[in-house]
Amino acid sequence: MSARIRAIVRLFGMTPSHANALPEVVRRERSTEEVLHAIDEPFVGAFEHAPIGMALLAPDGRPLRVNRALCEMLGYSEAELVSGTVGGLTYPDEDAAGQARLRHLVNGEIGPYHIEKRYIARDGHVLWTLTSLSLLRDAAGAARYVIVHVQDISARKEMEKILHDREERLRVFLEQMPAVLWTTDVDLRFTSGRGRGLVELDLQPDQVVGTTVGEYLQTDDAGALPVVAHRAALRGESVSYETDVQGRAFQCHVGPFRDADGRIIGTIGLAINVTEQRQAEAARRESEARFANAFEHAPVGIAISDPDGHPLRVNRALCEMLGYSEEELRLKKAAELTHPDDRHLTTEPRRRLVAGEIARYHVEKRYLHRLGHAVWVSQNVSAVRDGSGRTLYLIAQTQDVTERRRMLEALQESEAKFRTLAETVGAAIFIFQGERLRYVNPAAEAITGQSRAALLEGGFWQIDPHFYPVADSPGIASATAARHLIRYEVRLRHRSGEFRWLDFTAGVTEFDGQPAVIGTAFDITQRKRDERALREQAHIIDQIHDAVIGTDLAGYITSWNRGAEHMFGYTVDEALGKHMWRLCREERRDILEREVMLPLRERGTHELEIELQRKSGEMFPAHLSMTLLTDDRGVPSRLIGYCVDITERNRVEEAMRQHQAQLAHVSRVSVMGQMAAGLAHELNQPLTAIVSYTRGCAHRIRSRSGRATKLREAMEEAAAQAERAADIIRSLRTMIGKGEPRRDWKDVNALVHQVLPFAEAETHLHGVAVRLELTPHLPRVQVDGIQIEQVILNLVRNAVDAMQETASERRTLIISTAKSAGDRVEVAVRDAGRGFPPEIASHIFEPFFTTKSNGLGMGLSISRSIIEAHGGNLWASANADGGTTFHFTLPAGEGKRDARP
Amino acid sequence: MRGPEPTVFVVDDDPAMRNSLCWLIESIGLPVKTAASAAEFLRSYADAPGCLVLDVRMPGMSGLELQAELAARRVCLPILVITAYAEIPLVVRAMKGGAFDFIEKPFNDQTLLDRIRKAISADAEARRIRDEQDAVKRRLAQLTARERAIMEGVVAGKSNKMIAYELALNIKTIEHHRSRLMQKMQANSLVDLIRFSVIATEPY
Repeated sequence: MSARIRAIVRLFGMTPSHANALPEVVRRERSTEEVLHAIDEPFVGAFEHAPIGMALLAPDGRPLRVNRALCEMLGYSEAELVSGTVGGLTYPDEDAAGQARLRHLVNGEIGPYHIEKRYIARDGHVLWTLTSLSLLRDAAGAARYVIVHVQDISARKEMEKILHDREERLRVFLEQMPAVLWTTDVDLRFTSGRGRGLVELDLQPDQVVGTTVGEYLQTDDAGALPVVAHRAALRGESVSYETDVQGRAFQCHVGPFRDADGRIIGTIGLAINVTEQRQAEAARRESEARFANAFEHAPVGIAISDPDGHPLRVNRALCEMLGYSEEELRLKKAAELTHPDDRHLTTEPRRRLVAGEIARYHVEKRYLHRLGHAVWVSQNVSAVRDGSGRTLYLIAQTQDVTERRRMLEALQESEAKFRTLAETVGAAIFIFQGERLRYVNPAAEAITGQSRAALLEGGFWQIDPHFYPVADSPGIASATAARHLIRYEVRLRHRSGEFRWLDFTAGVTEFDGQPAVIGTAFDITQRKRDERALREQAHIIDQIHDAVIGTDLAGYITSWNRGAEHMFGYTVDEALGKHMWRLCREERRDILEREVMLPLRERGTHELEIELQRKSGEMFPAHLSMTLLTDDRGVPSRLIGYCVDITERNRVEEAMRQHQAQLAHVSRVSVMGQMAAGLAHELNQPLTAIVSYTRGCAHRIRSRSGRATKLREAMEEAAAQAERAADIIRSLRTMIGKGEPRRDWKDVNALVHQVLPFAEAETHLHGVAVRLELTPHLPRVQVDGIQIEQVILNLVRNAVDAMQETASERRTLIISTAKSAGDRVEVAVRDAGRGFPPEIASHIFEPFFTTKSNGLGMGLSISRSIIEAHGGNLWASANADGGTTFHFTLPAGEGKRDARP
Repeated sequence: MRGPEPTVFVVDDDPAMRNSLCWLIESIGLPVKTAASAAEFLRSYADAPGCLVLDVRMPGMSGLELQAELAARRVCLPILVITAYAEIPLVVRAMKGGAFDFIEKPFNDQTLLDRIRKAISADAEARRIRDEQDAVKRRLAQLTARERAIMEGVVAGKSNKMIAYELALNIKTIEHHRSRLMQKMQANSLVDLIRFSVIATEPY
């Protein structure tokens, strides 16, 4: 018999044999009635010793006699009962009905009867009885006695009540529980069929009654399991089997149904619908399979061990984690696997877990890998206990956290590094979260002038209202969202009130596990100032009219100002990256590299005049000043070229030189000029007077108004004025001719050499080469050296002027000296100019004659005067190959070559 | 009205120049008075009509200084400046100082004489205008204040009625005064009167 059946039977406190006992009670009652009938005849002996209570009443109900059993039943003596002094014997509710029924019996209106009635015993307890009354008549048929049998049925009544309750419970149970309870007779014909399980089979209670098991199952097969089971039950066996009916699984128990005598009168069966149970079992099996699978393939290591720590089962992950096979691991205790330094960590928690003091524990410790290295693990250990709380085994879930641990260590190291760095670095570091600063370093204190506490107290943007980002602050928010770095230059008002410029970079980080913004700020106030100065300088450089060219050390252009653009015609874009010697003639580049770069590297600066080329190809003279720039460490880093276009300067210089030359020229003739001016003024007076006198005479003569004496006087006045003019001229000539010039003995070659430096200014400017063809050891001449030098200089100037339009390679001037016929020394100045046309040649020595637009025309005239004053000659001759040679001779000093003054 | 005969005043420190110029200028019938220096000239001169021929370079007071002095004395004698040769700055100064013309020596006698004639006629015209102005001013001085006010109204083109209203006088009175002032001003017509008023106010 299954546990479930036992449970049901226990629940009702009955067995099938109890049920069999019921008809037995009924049978005993029946036999009691028979006894009572028997008393009718042999009355007295039986009366007294009857096992049941008996009483003999008079027809009026008065007790005449009671037997001992009744007395014992009610707890009164016979005398008490017969005396009729005992009141309230009958249960109050039933008394009246009982009296009435007794009268009917006595009157013969009803026959003998029995009722169940209650008496109240002496000790007060209520006594259920089956009371039978019958009437004894005498021969005349008159009522003589009423015989009362009283049988105590309290026990039966109680039993009935219990039975009733139990049957009610059984009925409710059968109707409620998903089971079917049925009975059959020996022919296996159903005699009952109850239970809520019927509903699932679409059957009404007792609907199957009358049909056989085989019919119900619609099978003729005597070997069918239910049929076999029922037959076995008829043989006295109890059989359990499972069967499917209409798609549902039923677990059935069939046993013999016995009567009170133990005879088998049929079968009794119980079927319980176990469909859900089967489904649950299937699910459990599946779950178990899943568990096994999960256990085996779990990514965390799982070990199931006994309370002592001997592994019972370990999974693959744990094996892999520790490098052992499953078998190897099962032979080791957890403690053996643990790193010696960490074994103490688990001793106490394990003890407490096994003892039931704690439900689980967590530990982070090191295992030793089979290969010897430590494996950091995070382990959760829990216990499985039986019903009594005894620990059956331990389940340890183990996770390899070596990597995490390493990261943590790295993190801690990183954090330590960050702290160290942040606390010592010059850049201000802020971490802010939401609206508040969470961290600031000392540099932040320095930059803001606020204490760390004050900074952390106030919100980030409350540091100072002037600490505003140049861009708007939503920029930070969006950048924060986008998780990229943002960079601002912001201005901060230091606590001292001054402004500080910060280079502020913000990025997203985490702080205390929450997103935060980390800001780094460098004080760039100085840089800002420098930048401004630099911008100003750059602006100035750009405004400079001259070219300022920056190059790297190799000479490649890195900066190019507007002046350079104008000067060379290259735009900045065109110029950058070009080599600076591209601005020169190609054939000059190598030379420049030597002549400029070498001294520049040696001395740091170098200046030169150079011919440069514009984009248009045009060449122009320039003054180039190169400077080698060095960086902070003194290492050469760049070259700066300052380039001035000196075309104009050259032109002006040349003009200046010409002007100076003119002035010199003028100064040489200024004595003459002043003389001439004075002469003009002096002569003006007499000439005007003469004109006035003579015209006055003419007018008078024409009008015949002048008297002869007056006219004569006027004419004489005019003549006097003419004489006055003549006197002036005479005095002038006297003045010029007055005094001997100073004469010294000179070597003409020396004079030529003394003139050359003066002449060079002019020859150089005009690109004229000077060649000397001096004859050595010439006799000396007695001359005013300065005057002769002026003559030579004058001739040189003329020669240079004459060659202005001569091709530059032919611009050569030759000064020669030689001995000439007649004890004379000759000096010749030869040019390669155009020469004089014949019509001019005869005028060139006349005063105030000039072919030059700016000349006074006194040069050759004065020169000739000077030479002639020295007793020499000055003349010109045309060269065979073009150009003119001016010659002058001077008398040699009487043959005495080395004569001293 | 004819004043004294115009005279050519010659100031030159050079006697030959002085005498020869005198001889030349007299040859065309103009009276000549000479002076050897600026000071001498200033002593003798008394607003005679004519012109002044002046050498710009003289010892003592130079020609330019004499010119300035004459201007200071409000003598309006046209000045012909003689320069030795093109002394441009001197010429410019002379012209700015109010010289009538300049002439460079040695000069053509006709050029000199032409300029002298022009200077004399310019002087005569200036004197005529000055005389007329003086006359008008004298007449104006004879007018009563009321006559002067009425004259201003008439010259401004106002009708008698208007003047009467402005001066709060009877129109008859105005007409009476008007005929009186016409007489005093020796004006034959309104045109004359306006001319006189213009002459009187012209700076000369």
